[in-house]
Amino acid sequence: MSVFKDKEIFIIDDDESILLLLRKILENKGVKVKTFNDPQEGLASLTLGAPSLVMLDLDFSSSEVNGFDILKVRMADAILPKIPFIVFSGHSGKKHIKQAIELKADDFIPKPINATVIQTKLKKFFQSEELKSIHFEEGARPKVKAKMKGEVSHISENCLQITSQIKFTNKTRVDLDGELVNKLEATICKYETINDAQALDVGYYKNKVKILGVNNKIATNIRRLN
Amino acid sequence: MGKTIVEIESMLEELIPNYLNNRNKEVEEMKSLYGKGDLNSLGKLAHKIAGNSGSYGFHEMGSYAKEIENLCTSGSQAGVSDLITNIESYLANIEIKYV
Repeated sequence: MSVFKDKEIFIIDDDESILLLLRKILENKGVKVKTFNDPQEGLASLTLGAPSLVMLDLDFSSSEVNGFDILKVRMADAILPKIPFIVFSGHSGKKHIKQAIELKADDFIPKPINATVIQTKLKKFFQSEELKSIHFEEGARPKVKAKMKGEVSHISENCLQITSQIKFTNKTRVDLDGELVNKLEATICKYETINDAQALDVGYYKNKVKILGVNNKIATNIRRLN
Repeated sequence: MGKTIVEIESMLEELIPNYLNNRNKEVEEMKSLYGKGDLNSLGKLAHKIAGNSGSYGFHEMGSYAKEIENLCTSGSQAGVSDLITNIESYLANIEIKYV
């Protein structure tokens, strides 16, 4: 799968030609792009959205603020430092680069921009970002409740098989409802997966589920189905 | 005078006519700024052209623009007019080959 899939990049530069160029290069790779030729507007947009990455020009000729000012605002903010910033500039002297890095820019790209360099840098960046996914320790994992449709393909007196888009792991508690469960009068039963799910078509899984608490009435109802 | 062949990525083809049109307008703007002796604004405009022209693949124009920027930064007008003419001639004599 492409590392660019589902990525969104905000680009802030007062040069429309550069915005058009970068949009073309990045959209060609499947990236969603938003461009801002006003640095203040670009900065304001970050409070409303959280892009995967911001590409920021450091030299604005048509504005009183420059890219360094934006980096300073970002540093002082509680949320913005979590959004990676790659900066670019036509001034690629050591002093310029050092200042950008001191202001916590994540990378520096010199102008003129080279499409291949941009693609390579972003690819490496997103690959490394994928390794930085948030890991919750055992015992501190947030609980979520997922409700999703599934299809029952097989049933016996002690287990059933469900096809769904959820990939359950072994011994996962499952709540079932629906016409079949009502017909079997099995709403009083508990359900728990047996083994990890098996992949079927892309995005679908076969889950075997144990039925706990089956009484004679429910067992009879199940047998009558067959 | 023979045409200068410039190779540009085919992905950028739809952007190029507008891009060149805008640079031609900026040549006129540079001439005007030079005429007024506004080296500060001229330097900023040259900096912008240096950044975008190389990015699109027009490296020769980028070099001329960078020279203009450097001269303006140092406060020198000598040679600036010739460099603007160089950009104008370059734009008038390029032939794009999309690759």
